[in-house]
Amino acid sequence: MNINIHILLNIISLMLLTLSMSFSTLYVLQQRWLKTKQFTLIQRLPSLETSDLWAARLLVCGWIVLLSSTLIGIYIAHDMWDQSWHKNPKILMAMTTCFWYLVFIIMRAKFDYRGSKFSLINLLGYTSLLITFVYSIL
Amino acid sequence: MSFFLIGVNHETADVSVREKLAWMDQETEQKKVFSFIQSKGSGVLLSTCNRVEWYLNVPHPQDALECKRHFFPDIHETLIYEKQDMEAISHLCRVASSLDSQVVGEPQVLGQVKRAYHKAKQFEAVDPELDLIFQKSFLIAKKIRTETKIGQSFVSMSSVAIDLAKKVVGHFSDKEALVIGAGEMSTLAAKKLSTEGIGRLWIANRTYDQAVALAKIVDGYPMLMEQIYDHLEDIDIVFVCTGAQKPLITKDHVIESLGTRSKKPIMMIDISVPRNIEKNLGEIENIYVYDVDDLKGIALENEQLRKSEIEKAEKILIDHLDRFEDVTRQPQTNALIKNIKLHVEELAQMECEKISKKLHLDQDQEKILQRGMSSLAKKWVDSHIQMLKTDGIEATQALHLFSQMFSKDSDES
Repeated sequence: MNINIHILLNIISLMLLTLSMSFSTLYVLQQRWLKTKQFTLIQRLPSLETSDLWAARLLVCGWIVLLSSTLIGIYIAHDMWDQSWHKNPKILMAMTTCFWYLVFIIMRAKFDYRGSKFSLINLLGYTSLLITFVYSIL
Repeated sequence: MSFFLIGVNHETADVSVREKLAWMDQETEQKKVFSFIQSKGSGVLLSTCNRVEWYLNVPHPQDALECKRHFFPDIHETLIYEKQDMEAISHLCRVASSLDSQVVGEPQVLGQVKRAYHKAKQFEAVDPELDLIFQKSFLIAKKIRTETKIGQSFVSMSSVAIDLAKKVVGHFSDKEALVIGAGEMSTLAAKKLSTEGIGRLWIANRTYDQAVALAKIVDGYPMLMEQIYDHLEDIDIVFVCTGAQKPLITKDHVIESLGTRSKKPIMMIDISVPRNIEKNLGEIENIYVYDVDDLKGIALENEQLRKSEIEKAEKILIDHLDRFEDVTRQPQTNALIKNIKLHVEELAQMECEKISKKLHLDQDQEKILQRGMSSLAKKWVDSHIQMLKTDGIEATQALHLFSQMFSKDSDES
């Protein structure tokens, strides 16, 4: 399997999850402005519901791409390092991030995690993703 | 008699102060309120979500002061404004023409002023002078509305609130809204929600028939007031504008009735004074509560758009206020003209009698003399009172001069 596909998917997933994170941040800001009644700032922004919805949609898309990229990475690692691939910290971190995001998606679907709570979890997931990404570059 | 204005509005006092004064507009209190006013003179109470104002026509400033003490007892002095005569008339015209509104250009306020005036008339608390002032203010308000575009780009308080709701709940097509109240503001909100394509619209009102009537107009569903909490779980937008004196929606009840509802945001707009939604309801994370004062910021932005129209309206107002001064002087002028005519007629009659006695005139000659004197008196009066009927400073000066002359004459006689 071509390593370039793995890299490309990684970049796409990072982009999608960054966008998801941006919508989550926007949600938190909008919520604060609406609660503190600073209406001028929210005039040109999407609605709270739209921000929340797009944060979730992008997160799901980003997760699918990230999972595909991780699976391709495992396949390549298996070819390269044979039995010892699962000991590679880079792969372990990527798998943990994928699992972490899967937990969010389930929590959102099953327990209706929305709004600021969802945004906070998204921020934690994104931090984990960034650490993995930076580690893989180094 | 002097014309006074005493009141508080959205600029001087916030909603927590204004709601303390809402008792005056209650049906049960009206009789007492107006009988007090009748004991002092005459007056109109204007109580809206943005203001509580008394327009009084009383003989002495002391009476106005007593009214202030009686109706605004616990309100801090700095929050109350007082105006007199032309200043008060100017304020009334500004209010009626919506130049003093939180949302400049809103059409509802003229209706509210008219209703306040008719209510005072029902209680026989409007004397002819106050009646004239209100009639003229209605005319000025109408003129401003027709000659400027002040109302064309207008966004009502209800639509400001509904637009804000969009920022919270997003698209309306899959949402449910509940409008509590069937008055003017509630009707506007319901219509706006309906035209914006709300998924389902509920109307609740204390008088169920009115809820049914409004629901028919907006293609919604009527609801009994007691059913509000049963449906709250499915509602995304709540708009309240009623005259209830106590909160209709409380935090405890809402928490209890939300039950299995998802964490989707709920927008609650309360433009009633006193407020009908408990203030601390906004502490719940996904509930956004706004009262009439909160919408002020958005209203101000709309105002900027209509700035040039506001300037035009102000010009019309100033122009008409000058004429208004003449109109308010009219009863005084009419009375003076009547006095002058009577006085000159009397003089002519007296002179006729004197001449008739001296010349020993017969009945026919006396009639001719009387006719001549009467014609002379009429011509003299007409030429002099013409000045009183014109507009401007000369008329004011003439009024003062003639008033002094004839009051002196009458004193001497």
